[in-house]
Amino acid sequence: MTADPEIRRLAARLRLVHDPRRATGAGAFLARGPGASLEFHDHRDYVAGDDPRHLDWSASARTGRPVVRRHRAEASPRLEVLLDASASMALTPAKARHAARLAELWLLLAEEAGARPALHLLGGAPGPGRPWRPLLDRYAPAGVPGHLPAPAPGAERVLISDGLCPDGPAPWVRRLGEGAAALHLLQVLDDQERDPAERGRVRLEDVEGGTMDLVMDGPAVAAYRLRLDRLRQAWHGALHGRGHVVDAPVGDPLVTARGAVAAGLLAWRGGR
Amino acid sequence: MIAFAQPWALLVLAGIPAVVALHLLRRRLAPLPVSGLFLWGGRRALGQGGRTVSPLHRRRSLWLECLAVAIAALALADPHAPGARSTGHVSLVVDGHWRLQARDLGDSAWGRARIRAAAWAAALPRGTRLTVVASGPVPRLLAGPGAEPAAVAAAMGRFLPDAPRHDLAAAVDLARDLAPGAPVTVLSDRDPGIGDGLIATGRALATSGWAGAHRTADGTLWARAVADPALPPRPWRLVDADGAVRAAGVISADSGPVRLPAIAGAADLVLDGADPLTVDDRVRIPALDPDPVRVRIDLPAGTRLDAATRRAFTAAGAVLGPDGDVEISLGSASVAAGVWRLSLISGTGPAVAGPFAARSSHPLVAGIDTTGLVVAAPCAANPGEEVLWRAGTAAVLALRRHPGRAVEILLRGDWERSTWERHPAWPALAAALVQGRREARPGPRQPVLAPGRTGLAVVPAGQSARLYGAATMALVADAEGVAVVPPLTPGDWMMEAGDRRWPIRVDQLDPIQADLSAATTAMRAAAGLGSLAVERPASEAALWLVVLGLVLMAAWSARRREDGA
Repeated sequence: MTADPEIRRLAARLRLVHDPRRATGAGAFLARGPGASLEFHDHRDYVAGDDPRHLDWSASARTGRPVVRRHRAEASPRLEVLLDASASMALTPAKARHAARLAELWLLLAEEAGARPALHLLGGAPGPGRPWRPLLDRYAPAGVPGHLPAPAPGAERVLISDGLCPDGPAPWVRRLGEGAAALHLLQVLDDQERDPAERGRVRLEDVEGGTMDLVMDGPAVAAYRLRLDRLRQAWHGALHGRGHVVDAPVGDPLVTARGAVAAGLLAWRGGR
Repeated sequence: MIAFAQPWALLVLAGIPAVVALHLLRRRLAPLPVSGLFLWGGRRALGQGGRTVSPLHRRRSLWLECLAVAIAALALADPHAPGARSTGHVSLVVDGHWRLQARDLGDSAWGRARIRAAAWAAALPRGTRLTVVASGPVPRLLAGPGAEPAAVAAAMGRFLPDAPRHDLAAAVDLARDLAPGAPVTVLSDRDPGIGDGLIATGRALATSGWAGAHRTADGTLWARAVADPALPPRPWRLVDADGAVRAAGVISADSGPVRLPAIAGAADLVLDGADPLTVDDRVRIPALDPDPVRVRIDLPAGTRLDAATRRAFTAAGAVLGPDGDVEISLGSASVAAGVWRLSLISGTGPAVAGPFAARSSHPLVAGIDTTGLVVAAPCAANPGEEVLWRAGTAAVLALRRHPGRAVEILLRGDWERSTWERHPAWPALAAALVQGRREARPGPRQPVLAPGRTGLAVVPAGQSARLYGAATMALVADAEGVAVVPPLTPGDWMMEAGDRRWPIRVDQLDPIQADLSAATTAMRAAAGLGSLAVERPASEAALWLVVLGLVLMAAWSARRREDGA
């Protein structure tokens, strides 16, 4: 399958942004944890087995106990796209297609940046995530997000999902962000999910199971919006310090790209 | 045309509105796929708010469920063609009251009843067995048990309702006894409120007629008529045995009793003019009894006792003479056959004062007050005497029966010291004695009988007696010669014993039965077919069940699909 021309054109206008605080050189990233780079990370007390070369004598003199310096680990640049393959992503064909196009955009940009892109389908079969094109071609959201990919240490992860977790985002962030340099969420929601209309008496049928008979009137819709806002706030809170939440309404990928640019994940080529 | 053996089962059709109501209340919600059901949590969920009425959607399940109800109703109602072979048994109770003879516009309730009954019988399923009972004081079987429906018309043709007032329940009970389990249809001019079905052919009409007529002891005739206030006054005539009109007048709703001239012989009292019911427009008054009770008084002439006794018996309607049916004298003596003797027996004991203990049920002393009556020197009763008045152990008045229906009444006391002749008990006792003697004569005690009522008659000693008129029947007398006259149909009857005959007249005078205001025309014939068992093969019932089962399964499947299950 060839790339979406519109996505290819959009990818040609964008580039991934490397956090200058984490950049060690062209194509290199600093990991979030301590390592062996020259970048200072923090101090800690000396324990048996530590390399005596890392002792910070001045700090030991000031504190009166042996203290070692720790440096940030240096990781090769890598970007993993975690594409939600649960049934909720197929609520509408447009939603699933939009999620796939966003994944393709990020993966193309990662290739362009030499960040060794990988694609993992949440709820799909486990695999190395590369090459990503065949995986993306097979993207057909229908299950529940049971499978989680093996984390690649130091990789920057982009989660493309609607983020509708009944038990809140914290467990997901904890598992998906483990060992990652960063974790971002592109929250894909269609118009009906973002701003449902009043429909009167309806039977709500969750595509992942469960029904509810409801009077879908103004108060019900307002309550829905309130809960959705709380959920999005929860995502922001859970990803605080780890990454960003980018709104990705179903439709034109350019809107999502602008949001990502605003969040500092992407940048226009040529400084636009 | 379809008939139903179990028409009540059509009530099951009421389930169709119930099905429609359930569909009106049924949740018909448009499904809406969502991805975050938990975000809608609990707000105004319909499950908490109950069902609401929505416009009726004509879905397949609605039609199938209605069809299932209709099939169930039809299967239970047991439809069949009128000519279907039946093993059922039905009963028809024909009201025998004479009021069914009421005519209106040239037609009578009975005539209409015959036509309706014949049509009803013709509509019965072929093979139905029939039992027809006519009501009356004694219900009787007109056809059956188990007759063909064609026998109804013939049975009705032989019957005329002329019975006096009676209870229809006896006829219904007889019908149920003769045909256990068979539904009973009542044929009447109104709804008597019994039976399973009804064919009523009456019409509410205004009537007038005689309610009663009687003759007093002195021969005076009295009559009473009843008339509907809506009717104009009707003329009446009193016609003697020679056909001469002895009196005439008019009656209306507010007419009181009518006094008629004294006529010794028989007479007819006739109401003229049109009336729906003619049965009670004519009354036959029998002739005055030509043979009064004769009394022979043998007491000391000129005494207070003799004078008081003569006054008392004359006032009682007796004829005094040298010989008689009743003899009164001092002291006990032999009694001739057929004679009643009043023996006044003197005593010597102390005086006693009434009231006396009395056998109040005996007709000779019933109702006689003996308070203040002083009787001197009564004595004890002798063996064989029936004590009627008692003062302690003394028998003041006793009765002894002799062979040949001779009766001796013993009145004990010292006549010089007693107060017999001045006490009202004396003429009362004389009247009771005359009346008792009159009733002991051979012949009917009541020459005019009310319809449906029994009477009494005395059969001459040593003879047999019979009644003849519309029928002939023998009279069976007890030891005293008293026989019971059974209820007789209206008309003239004759009691015969040896070469003697006495007339008995039965007139239909019943203002309650003559009241036609409650008559009506109604039909509740369906109940008459209520429990018919129509012969049909077992496969037919199985077919009903199969069809019903298929429709129910289709309805269930349609509902599952509509509910998205």
